Amino acid sequence: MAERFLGEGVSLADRGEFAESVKILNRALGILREFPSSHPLRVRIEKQLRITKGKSVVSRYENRSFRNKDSELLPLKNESKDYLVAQIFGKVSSRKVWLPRENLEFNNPVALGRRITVFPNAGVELVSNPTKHTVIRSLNASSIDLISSNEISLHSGFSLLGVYKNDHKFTVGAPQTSISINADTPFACLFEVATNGGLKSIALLGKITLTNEEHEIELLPGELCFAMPGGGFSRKMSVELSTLMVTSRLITSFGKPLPFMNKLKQQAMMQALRTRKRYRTVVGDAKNGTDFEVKVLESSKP
Amino acid sequence: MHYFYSLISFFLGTAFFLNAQDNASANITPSDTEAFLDTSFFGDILENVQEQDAMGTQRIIDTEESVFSPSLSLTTSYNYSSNPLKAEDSSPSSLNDGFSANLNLAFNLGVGEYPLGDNILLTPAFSLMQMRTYNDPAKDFGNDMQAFDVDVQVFGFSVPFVLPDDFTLSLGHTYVRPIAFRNDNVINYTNTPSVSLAKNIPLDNGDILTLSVGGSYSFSEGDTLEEAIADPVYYQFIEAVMQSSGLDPLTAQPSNLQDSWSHMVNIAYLKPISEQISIMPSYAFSRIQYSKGANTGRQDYVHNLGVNLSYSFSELVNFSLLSNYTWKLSDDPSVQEYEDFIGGIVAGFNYSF
Repeated sequence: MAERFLGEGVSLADRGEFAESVKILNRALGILREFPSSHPLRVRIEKQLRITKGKSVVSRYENRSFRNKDSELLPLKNESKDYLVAQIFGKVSSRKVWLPRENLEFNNPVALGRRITVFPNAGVELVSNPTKHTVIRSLNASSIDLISSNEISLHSGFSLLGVYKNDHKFTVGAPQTSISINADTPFACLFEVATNGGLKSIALLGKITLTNEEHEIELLPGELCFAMPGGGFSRKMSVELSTLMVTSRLITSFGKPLPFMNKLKQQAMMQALRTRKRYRTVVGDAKNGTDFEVKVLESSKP
Repeated sequence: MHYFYSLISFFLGTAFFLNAQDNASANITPSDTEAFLDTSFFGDILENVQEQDAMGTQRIIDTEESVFSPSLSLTTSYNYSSNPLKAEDSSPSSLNDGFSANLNLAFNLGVGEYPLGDNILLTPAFSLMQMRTYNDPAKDFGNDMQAFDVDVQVFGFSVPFVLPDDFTLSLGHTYVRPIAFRNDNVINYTNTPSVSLAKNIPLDNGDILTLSVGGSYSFSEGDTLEEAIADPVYYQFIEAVMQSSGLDPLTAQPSNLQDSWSHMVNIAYLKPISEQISIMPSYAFSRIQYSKGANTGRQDYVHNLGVNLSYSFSELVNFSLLSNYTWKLSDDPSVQEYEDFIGGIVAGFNYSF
C-alpha cells in the first residue's frame, strides 16, 4: 500500500500537483510509522517528500512572479467591504487582487480574496459586513487568505474564528490539511498552524463537528485536536478553558472583548464544575504526521 | 468537583444554619460558607503561566462525562463546649463544661449545569446528610447526657443561580428531622424553603471576603404538649393549670409550635496561608421570629463568631481546628438566653465518584 502511495505521489508531483502529492506521501509515511526510520521504503518516501516540498516552493515562487508580471491589481476604491477592520494594533497588511494596504487601519474594508499578513507584535480583528456574524482575529506573525464568506486559509500563525449563526458550515485550510466545521448553533474556535502543516483546533463555543477528508470528530467547548496532514485527526483532549481565557492573547490582547465573552466565562464555569482532575501538563506542537507534544508544566516554586 | 462540593456545602450549610437547633450549632463550621467559582477561581492559574502566547496555555484536564456528579463526605469531630446544655448560667440545669463527638455522613448529587442566557448558570443539586452527636463520650456526667444524644437527618435540594459579578442566588428546600436515637423518638419534622444571596469579593492579596444574606420559613411538625408529656395524669394537671389561666393547651402548644421566619446575615474572610492551609474568621447573625401558638411574636437573636483553621492533607483528606462563640438573646423572658464557647478538631474525607 505504501509502495503504491509512493508511486502515486511521484506521479502527482510530475504533473505539478504538489499539494496532493505531499498529502499522499504523508499518508504513506503514516502507514510506515511503526517501522524503523532506516527502513528502505520509508527512506525513499521521506526523500520523495523532501523533493516534492522543494518543488512546491519553487513552483509557488514561479507562479507568483508570473502573476505579478501579468496581473493588474484593482484600485482600492473598488475593494468591496466584505469584512471591516474592527480592532487593530501594530502593522497588518492586506494584499492580493486589489492594490496592497501596507498598514491596515480601523474600519478599512477587507474584501474576499485578500491575504492578510499580521506582523510580529501586531493583531487584527475582522468582522463580516454587513451581517457581522463572522469574527476573525489573528496576531503575531500570521497569514490568512479570505477565500470566501465561509472559507479561510491559514498559511501560518494563529487565528480565532467566531460565527454567530445557526446551521453554518465553515472551511479552514492549512498548508497540509483542510477542515470543514459544521455547527447547528453559533460557534467559536482557536486555530494554530502546526509545524507539520496540520491545524491545532480548540473549540471555545458550541458543539462543532470537524471533517477532514473522510474523517470526522466532534468537539465541545474546551476540547482540542490536531487535524493531521494527509487526513484524519489526533485524539482529542480537554484543556482548561479558564486558563485559556486568561492566557490566550487572541482573547485578551484586544481592547474590546469578544462578543461571546460572557458565554465563554459560563462555559469555563461549567467545565470547572465537571473537572475531575487537572494535570500539570500542557499541549504543545505537532511536528510529525502522527502525534503531538505534551509538555510538563514547570512549577513556579523554587 | 471541589468547587461543586463547596457549592453544596455552602448552600446546605446556609439552609441548615437558618433552621438549626441550638444544640446543633457546633456542626456548622465556617468552612460551610466557602465560596464557589468566583473570580478567585482563576487565582492559582496564573502561578503556572510563564507568559501569555497567542493561543494560550492549554492545560490538560479530565472532565466528567455524565450529567450526574455524586460525591460522598464523611466528617468526624470532637468538640469542647462551655455550655453543653445551652442553658442560662443562672439555670439549675446549667452545666459548665462538656464534650461531644460528632459523625456526619453526607451524599451530594449534582444534576448538571444549565446555562440561562449568557450570564446565568444553574447548578441544581440534591443532598442527604446524617449527623450523629454523642454527648459526653468520656462520661464525666455518667449516663446523664445520653438523653441528649441525637441524630439529625437532612434532605436538601438547592438551585443556585450563579450570577455575574460573583453573586450567587440560591433557592433551596430542606427537610430536617432530629431523632433521639436512644429511644427512637423523632423530635420533630421541619420543612424549610429558603432563599439566599451571596457575594464573593476577591481581594488583591488573594484573600476572599464573602457576604451573604438569606431568609427562610420553617414549617414544623412536632409533638403536642400531651404527646410530649406522655403521662396522662400529669398532663391533666398541666391542662387544668393552663385552663385556669385562660390558655388552651392545643392552641398554646400546637404541633407546629416551632414554625418561624428566619433571617440571617453572614460575613466570612478566607485567608489562604499556603496551598494547603487556610484560615477563615466569620460572623453570623440570625433572627428567628416564631409564628404559632404560645411562641407567636417571640423573637430570638443568635450571634456566632467563629474561626476555622483548615489543612488540606490531600484531595481526599482534610483536617481543621474550629472555634465558635455563640450567644443567644430573646425578647421572651421565659426563653433561656445563653452563651457558649465551642472548640474542636475535625477530620474530613471527601470522595467524588
